[in-house]
Amino acid sequence: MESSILVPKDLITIQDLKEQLLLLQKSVDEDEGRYLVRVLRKLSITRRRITPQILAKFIEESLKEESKTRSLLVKIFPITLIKEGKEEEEKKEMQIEIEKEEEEKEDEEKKKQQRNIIVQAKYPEEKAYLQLLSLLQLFKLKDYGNALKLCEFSIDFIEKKNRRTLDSFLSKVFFYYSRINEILGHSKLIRKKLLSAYRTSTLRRDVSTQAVLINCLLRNYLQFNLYDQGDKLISKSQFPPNSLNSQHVRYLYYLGRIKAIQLDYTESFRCLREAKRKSPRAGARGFRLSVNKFLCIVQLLTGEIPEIELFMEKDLHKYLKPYFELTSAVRTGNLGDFKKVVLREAQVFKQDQTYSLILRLRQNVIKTGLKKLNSAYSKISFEDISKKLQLDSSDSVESICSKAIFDGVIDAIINHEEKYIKFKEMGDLYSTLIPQKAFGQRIKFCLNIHNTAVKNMRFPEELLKEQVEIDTEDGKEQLKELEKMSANNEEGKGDFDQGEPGNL
Amino acid sequence: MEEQLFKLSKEFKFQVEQKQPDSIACKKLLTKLKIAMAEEGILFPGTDFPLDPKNIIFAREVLELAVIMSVKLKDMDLFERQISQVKPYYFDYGNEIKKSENELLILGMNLLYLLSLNRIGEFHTELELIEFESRSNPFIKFNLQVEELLLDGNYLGIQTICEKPPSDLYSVFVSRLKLSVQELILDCADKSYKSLDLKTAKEFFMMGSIEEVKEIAKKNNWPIENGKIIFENLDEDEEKIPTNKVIREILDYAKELEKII
Repeated sequence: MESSILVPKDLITIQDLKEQLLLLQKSVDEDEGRYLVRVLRKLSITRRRITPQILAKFIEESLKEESKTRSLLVKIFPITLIKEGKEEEEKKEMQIEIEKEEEEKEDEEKKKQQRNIIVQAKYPEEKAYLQLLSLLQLFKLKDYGNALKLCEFSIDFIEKKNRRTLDSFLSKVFFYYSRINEILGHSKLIRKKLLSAYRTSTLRRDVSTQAVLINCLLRNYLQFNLYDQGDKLISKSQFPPNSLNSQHVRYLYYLGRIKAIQLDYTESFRCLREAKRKSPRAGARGFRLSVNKFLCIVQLLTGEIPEIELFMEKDLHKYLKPYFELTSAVRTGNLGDFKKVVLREAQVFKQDQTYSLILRLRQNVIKTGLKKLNSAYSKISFEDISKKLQLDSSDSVESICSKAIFDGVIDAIINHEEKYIKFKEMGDLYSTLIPQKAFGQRIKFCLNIHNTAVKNMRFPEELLKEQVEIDTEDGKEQLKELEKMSANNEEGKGDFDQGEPGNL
Repeated sequence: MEEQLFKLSKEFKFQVEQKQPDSIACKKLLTKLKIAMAEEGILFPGTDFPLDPKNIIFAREVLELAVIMSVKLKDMDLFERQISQVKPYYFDYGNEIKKSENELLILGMNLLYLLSLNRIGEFHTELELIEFESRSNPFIKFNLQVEELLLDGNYLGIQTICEKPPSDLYSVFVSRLKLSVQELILDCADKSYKSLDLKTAKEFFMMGSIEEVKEIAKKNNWPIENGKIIFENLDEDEEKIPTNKVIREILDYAKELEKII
């Protein structure tokens, strides 16, 4: 980190940081969580604009001399980074003169005053925020040694305070703690700490940290293929339902992967599909790519063929090509093609950790092949079957067919003496109960969606009605407004902030 | 204390390596050994203290012998317990000490055990723990082949491959596997054949004699005519309408409709 001069752009960032600290103070003073959430929402923008120099100056200004945070951070971001020489002062004055020429004298005076306001960090929230910003900066600069030290300091600091307002900071710090250890290869060693932190956060009802820790632990287990441990964690813990969407999506992804290994393909498919639906449209490319890959394989394992849209997303198209070839081989029931593709792309599959699942697809290829024969032939000899499906010997064909009949893949009778298999004719489908079952499923699904939609709609109206009951004097007026609101809601023009009663 | 441990372990090894180990003596020795090891702090040491590789190797050897003992004594519960005790020594402490020769043998036995009981989910989770490179090892390869054949339904293939297991210790599991395969074959045959003459039935069902075939036929109520077993295939021409179910469903739909309106 070389020393350099603070550019005016940096001064603006420092200004913003000061405002954010003030917001955090306001949040604690008035006990309103929204300001804290607002600050954290801007985190992704803020972290991009920060440089070590900004941090050095800001830390020096905002933290008191005695604070332990300051002593640690000052070591990492030394103040010598900033050249405070006369040249800087002169440049500032020149700027001010130029701007004075325009008729904005008063504004300039204000700005000068603001620049000189020093915001001191009063509350642990602000200290935690500064720690978090420094951590993000170190992570960006890939300074993992210092970052790890800061993580551990921050975790200690926050856990001792035990304030619910610090929960969101703690969850972020834990995420980076886990990630840095993963990069350094120390994942095995931190499991104990993560588990005990999870216990603490559950006792304290710290929702965001619980969610992040479960995801970190699952990721840790999956890295070492410890699927049974991951399964045990899932069965013993409850993922908090009111966590952030990003954590929920990650949880669904890990859950889907574990279920797939345990042969619970329908459940796995459901989880992965939900994860894909809730993930961001653009961005998070690596995640979406991985979800698509697993979705493709799991869908093949359930016996369905994935639709072609799965492979056609613009930015993922290139990387999904091996999976596309695999799907075509399975679709045609061609065992030879399947073996070729697997051999050729083995490296790619092993890297994606889908290899073991793909090896299980062999069964599916044979099943699809038999199904095709079912619809194409009424009678076929074992020898012909073994040639068409490229199975090794015609002796085994008989028992394979017999098992397939038992599993319900095909409907047929084997004639052992004359060595052929005879397929039963498909009767009139509509005279069976199958259409009714299919309709029943679809009806249930639509009713489900309808009921959940109604439930979600009722919530703000109930809140409004509560407000009406409280202010009985303005009762009639508010009832009128209520009706207007619900009318707007039905037309879809209403604009309800989740959880807030709106403008009554 | 150490001397006693060594003495006990040598005796235990001697007992286990016999063809037919004495069950009571072995189990007694094992308990004594485990207590002694626990007192020394060798059994499952925590990872907080630095680990002495010699102790770990010693404990692992004893537990491996315990697994082999349970196989020879054909005690499956004991086998399961011992396997779960020896696994941490392969995976968690694995980095500190060099690989045991018997690791793949024991893990392979566990896989075959799960296969023979048709616990395919656990089979796959266990398989994930084994590295890809080890999959070509004969102990593991055997299991993978059996799994493939089982999934395909290639029961003839299973018969051929089971004649040459990679180790004598596998024979216990192989016989259990044969039993489960037999049951599977019976189920499949019931559905897929109209009739089967007794000789082919004997080959298919992997039975020793025609008498056994007749017994099985009686058990499953398959009549035997002209030296052939006749399987009764259910004719699904007249499917009864499940009236209760249909009525209940329609009432549910009516209820939901009322709610909406």
